[in-house]
Amino acid sequence: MKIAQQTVTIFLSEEGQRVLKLAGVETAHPGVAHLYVQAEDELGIWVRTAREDGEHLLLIRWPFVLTVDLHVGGAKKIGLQP
Amino acid sequence: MDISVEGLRTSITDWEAVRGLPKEKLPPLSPEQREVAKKLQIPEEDYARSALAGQKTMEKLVAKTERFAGYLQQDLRKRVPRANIERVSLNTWDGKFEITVEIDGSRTPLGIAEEVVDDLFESGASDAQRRLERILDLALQARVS
Repeated sequence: MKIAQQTVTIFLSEEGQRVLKLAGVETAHPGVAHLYVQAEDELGIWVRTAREDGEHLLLIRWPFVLTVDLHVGGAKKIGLQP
Repeated sequence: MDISVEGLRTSITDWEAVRGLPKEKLPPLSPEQREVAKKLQIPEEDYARSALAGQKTMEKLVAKTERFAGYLQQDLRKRVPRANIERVSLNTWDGKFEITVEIDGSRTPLGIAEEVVDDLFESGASDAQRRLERILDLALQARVS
């Protein structure tokens, strides 16, 4: 399953929290980051973060990720006449 | 014909557009959304921005699915005039269109990668058109045999 191109809530390990703080990423609650995922790969999750000089991409490595919550959404349906 | 999009996606364009909106322009959260934001310990404003960006992208995905369904219906009818598309659904998790074609009461499921459709609509790639034609040919052949 792909989680890229979505805003997800990432729950971080204590080490992950420290790393995020070190990287200067502020979160409303320690250990919980609500971020837009640009891409994912074998290294981890690449998220977008706003910095003073513009947008940056930040890698959150998989070992720091405890769990990820994302809204599945419902099926959006419309009918169309042939 | 049923047209649907299953799953969720937010394009970077919509995400950036919504991120720049002033707080007062964001839609209010429903009580359920507010509850989830609280449980996840994320600010309601962040939740509202995500929801709005997702909704904007969803509208575009529905429009793409609708456009593709119309294209497919025309193409199929040229091959088999009795063919009727019952359902076209874009599954955002798998990145593919799931289609059900009905011919004389018999139903054939079809899967077409979203990238083929994007290539066709966004760049008019002839290779994408050939791939699509091939998929349809195989599906219709399988039905006949």
